[in-house]
Amino acid sequence: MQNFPRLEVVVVALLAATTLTQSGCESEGCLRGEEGCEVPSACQALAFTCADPTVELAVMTAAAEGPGGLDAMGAAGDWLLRNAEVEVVIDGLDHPAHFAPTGGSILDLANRDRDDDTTNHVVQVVGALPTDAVHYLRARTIEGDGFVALQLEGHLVGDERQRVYTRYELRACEPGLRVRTEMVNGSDDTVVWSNADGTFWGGRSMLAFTPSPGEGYLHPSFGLGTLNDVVRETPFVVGTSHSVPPSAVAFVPCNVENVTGFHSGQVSTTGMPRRIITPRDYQVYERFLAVRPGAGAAPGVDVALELRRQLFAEPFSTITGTVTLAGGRASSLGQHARAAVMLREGSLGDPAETLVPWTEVVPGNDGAFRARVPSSRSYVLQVIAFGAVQAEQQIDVGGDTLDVGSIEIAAAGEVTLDVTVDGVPDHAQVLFHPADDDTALAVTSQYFEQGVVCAPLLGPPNGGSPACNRVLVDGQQAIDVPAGNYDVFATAGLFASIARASITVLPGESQTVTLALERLAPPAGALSADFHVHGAASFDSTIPDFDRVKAFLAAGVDVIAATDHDAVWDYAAAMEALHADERIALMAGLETTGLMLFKLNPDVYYPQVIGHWNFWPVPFDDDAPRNGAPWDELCEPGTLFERVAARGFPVADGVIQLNHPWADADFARDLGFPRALGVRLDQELPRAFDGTGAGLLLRTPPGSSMSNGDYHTQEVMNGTENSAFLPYRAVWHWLLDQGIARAGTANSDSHSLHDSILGTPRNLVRTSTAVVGFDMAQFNADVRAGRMIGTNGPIIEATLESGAAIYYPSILPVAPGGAPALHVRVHAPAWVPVAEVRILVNGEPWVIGGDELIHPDDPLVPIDVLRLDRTIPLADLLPSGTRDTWIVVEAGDPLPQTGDLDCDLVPDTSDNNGDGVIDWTDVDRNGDKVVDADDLEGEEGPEPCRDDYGADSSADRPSTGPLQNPPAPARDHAAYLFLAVTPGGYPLAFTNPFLLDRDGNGTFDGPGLRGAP
Amino acid sequence: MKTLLVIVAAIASAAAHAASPCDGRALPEGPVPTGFEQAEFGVVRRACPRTELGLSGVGRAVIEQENFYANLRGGVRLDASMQPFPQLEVFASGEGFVFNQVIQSYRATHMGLGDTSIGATLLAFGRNGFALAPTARLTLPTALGLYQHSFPMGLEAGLLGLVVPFEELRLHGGLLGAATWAVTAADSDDRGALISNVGADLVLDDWVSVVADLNAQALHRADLDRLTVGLGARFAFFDGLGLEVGAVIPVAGAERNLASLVLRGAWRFQ
Repeated sequence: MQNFPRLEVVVVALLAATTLTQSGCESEGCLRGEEGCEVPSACQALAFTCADPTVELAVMTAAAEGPGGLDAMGAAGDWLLRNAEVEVVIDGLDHPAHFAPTGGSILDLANRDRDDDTTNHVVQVVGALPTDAVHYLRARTIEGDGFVALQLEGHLVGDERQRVYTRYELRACEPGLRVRTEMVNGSDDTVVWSNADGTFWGGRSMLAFTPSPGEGYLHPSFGLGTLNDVVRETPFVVGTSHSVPPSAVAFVPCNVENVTGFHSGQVSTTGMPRRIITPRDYQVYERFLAVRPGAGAAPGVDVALELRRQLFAEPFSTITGTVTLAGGRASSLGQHARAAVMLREGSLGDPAETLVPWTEVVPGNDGAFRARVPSSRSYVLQVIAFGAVQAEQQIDVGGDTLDVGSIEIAAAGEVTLDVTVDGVPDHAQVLFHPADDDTALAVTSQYFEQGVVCAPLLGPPNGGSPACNRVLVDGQQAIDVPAGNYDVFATAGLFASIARASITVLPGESQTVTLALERLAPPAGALSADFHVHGAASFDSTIPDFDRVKAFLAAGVDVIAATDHDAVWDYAAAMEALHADERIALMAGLETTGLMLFKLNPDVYYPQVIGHWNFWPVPFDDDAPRNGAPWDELCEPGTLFERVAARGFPVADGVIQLNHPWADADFARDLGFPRALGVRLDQELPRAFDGTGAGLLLRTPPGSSMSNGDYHTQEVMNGTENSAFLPYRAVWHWLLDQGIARAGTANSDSHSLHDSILGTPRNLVRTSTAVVGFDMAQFNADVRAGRMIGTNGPIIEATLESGAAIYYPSILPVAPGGAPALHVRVHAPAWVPVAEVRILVNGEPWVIGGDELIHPDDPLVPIDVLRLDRTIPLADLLPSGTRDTWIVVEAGDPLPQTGDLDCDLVPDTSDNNGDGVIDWTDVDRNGDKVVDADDLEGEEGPEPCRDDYGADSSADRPSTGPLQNPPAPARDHAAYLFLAVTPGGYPLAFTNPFLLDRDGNGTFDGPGLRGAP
Repeated sequence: MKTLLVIVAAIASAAAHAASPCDGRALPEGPVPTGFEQAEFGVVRRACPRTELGLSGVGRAVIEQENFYANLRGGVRLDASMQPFPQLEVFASGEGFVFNQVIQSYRATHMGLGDTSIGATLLAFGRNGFALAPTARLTLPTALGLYQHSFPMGLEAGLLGLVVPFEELRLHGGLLGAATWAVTAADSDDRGALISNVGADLVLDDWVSVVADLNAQALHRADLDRLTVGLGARFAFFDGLGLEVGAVIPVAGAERNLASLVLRGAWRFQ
């Protein structure tokens, strides 16, 4: 019958399909997840030869077996792969770091025997969420003829069924690793993946360089909501270090033509194109990760182009030339900021956003440079010096080589800084500032158009000295300075005078600038201390140890808590080399830094972290992961405190500090625990966990013996730029109002020479111990008790005196009898303005200012000047009644006017549009750091406040900020001197409180929230 | 094989002649025709054969803000069925255009062809207001560009039923066993599933009806893949044109989609 042949066809088709599918496709690697599978070798088209065919893989037994470098963190139990060219450390499975939930990631990537690792971490990811990272379960080593390999097996954090297999392979003679990652979607969900390497640059560290129009080192900013708008496809990505010793890493794809990813100063991803991956599908990514020595992007670009020649038959040409100076110190060539050559594809006159930067090379000491670029293209060659383009020309690259000859750039002036302290050469810091607007216009620049603005740019901002506009000196120091008129300031810290010189720098001419400082008598019975300091051991710093310790000495700080991110460091070698042990007591400590988001706060739907916490002392163990620091992720603070204690932190004698309690989140990670919890200062803090975010602040996490509230100190001042003082102070006062007393501290949180000045601000701890014969336990006991002030200049000596009894500020309650009086004595070096003294009684200020204070005539006179000495009967200050009361004394400038637009009683906005009113028109809504009409587009008026901002509080809460300090004074203003050595800061000091037990119950219960009956 | 089919068809034809509930109405019938998986996998069909050409707009979405995940899918589906003889229906449907966007930290989109399914239903018994029809369907991975290395397929087979106790009420149902696998170098991850449906068309007039379904699928991705409720409204015009709008909403199980929606128009030729 005619109809049935159709049925026959159907049946035959079914049978055929079944046969085909049963035979399946040939499996490769570990895609089928079979026991004992082997991921194949990647990048088969590559071949390198050399004289030394050795290659080895071993499990480290000590850190010294691995490479060194600013970010070298290899420890016992990690894997070391090594050949004649490179050394690579893969962290052990039980050594998780940074964003990775387990080990199995690249921890160190260095050139053989050069100790030049500046790579924080390279992990496998599929996206930017915590669930997009890889959890490795198993590892095995593979050795063969001319290669070694480490194969790891695991799954994505979000779903165990999404299997991941990675093979790291090192072959003899090759300048890096061949890596193949297979990811199989064994789940039921359709997902979007980019099988990629996530590189954690950290910030202030390596810079990502991408050959993408208008980019290079410059990358568009983004948030999680705009991430997809900034994803780029490029033939490779290079990471460059801008400190010493320099190196470059290159990420080159093998099985696709371009890498896809996003880039910033903190992280980059480089991998496969974003794709929808249906269940049962998979994605394989093969790439070569190279590392080469040398400054600039060129070492990485050169090897990337060689790899692409072998993989994709893409030809390259070698450009050579010489940069010469029209005078001045030829020996200054070879320094990154002095001259760098950038090659951008395009034509002179093309808009900058269309030019494609292909490489950036630093000429040698003789000015000669050599770099590779893709062949048969036209380029704009630029020589960049002190952050500005000083020469450019068009070149057309045809053949294999092109010599562009000599390119002359303007001479700089040579300035020899000759700094003495008390008549002898000693450590100091010198800051250059333009002396007029023309010079400011000429020399203001950014390092490769990104990051901090410097005027002038004397050196890479995040490296050693000179950095940005700052120079560390110890006696005489010669540097190159671009032509212009400058005010040069020397400082040796808060207890010394300031020296100032006005100079004119002419091209090609030399001069010596003599700056004489005098130390001022520090307060007796006190040690100055900075409890928040970073160096290259932190993932977001590349200041060499030597420069970091020189900064300690230049600041004249007595005690340092070394608090690097997620790693313990003791600066031992640099301390010894500089004989700093004789002048500084250094306590090795730690700043824990939550990076892995998790569900913390029951009030909001999105994951968070617990902010940053400092601990000191923490034992330093070079051979242990993270040098002895514990894994600090995915836990509440109480549990974290236990983990640190398990690593040797002395719970009885050590100090736990809550850092920057109200700082803005960074890369979606909260930096302050109270802010992460969404506490509101108009509400009482729950003393027991009530299911709310605020209820977490004091609770003891399940399974922990320590409470989230078991910290001893809280930062009230953080950073030389002190606009965040008012929010941090508000949190501190709010806790005092409720009888929750923690000592307040003031720290620099310095990460480099260009950001906060080390030791500004600092603490003055009233203690019986000294640097020589330092009794750490006694010192920390005094810190925990709050026997200290915080200051960036003014010194406050405040006592409560009643007959023979004298009480000092601390967090131990007192009940002075008789007729006590508050004695306030404020003094400061002549260069520190003190415009007012505030006596805060339960937060309400009594202000003493103007003519009531003594103001020195000449800020350059090397003397300490008494500003106020007054005794006030306590009865005149206290409120009526018998409720407990706290008193804090502050001194410095009047506080900036601020507003609280989201009604949580935390200052959040200043008068940013200058109209004299702080309101909704002062908010920088588009994040461009300028408050203007663009920020008001679509806005009709103020956003309403609510008692509860709900589960999506970031969306529902009224927009706020920024908080900005008052504009800088004019150069001829007396206060300019202070600002010149305290960039972005206004004079400020505070005491820890007097806690008055007025109701006599033996405890300090606080006066209650403001407005409470 | 040919002989066997002829015999089956003859028996079915004879059985179907006595008061079959399957008639020539243009009003759409059977379960709401939209689902949550590849092509029409998991969507139980009507028991009664038709010669019909249909065009649908379909869409579904997973939106989970707390998990930073969304999967938006919409498309146009063309379906056709033909009766080579009265009791046998062969059918095919294909997504002529599909838009699929998945949003996590990254966002990726597929636009293009969707998947295809082909199958057949045989009205084995139909009289006295009761019909029973075995059916089978094969799902094919024709969504070129969506699948990179792994091409999923599915096969469903089972029994469809229709009971018409009185003219205004038509009760439908089905029970199918299913299997899925993939052509891939990775693990095929072969799976089975049980699919069921019960529902009712309430015929308000000869040109309008409403439908309610209860569907369940189990064992494919979880013990209970999904328990869903389907609701729809149906219309008929001009003796051949049928229109329906419907939604299927998960009420229990592992299903993450919020709902699956359909707007379908079809011309019935026979």
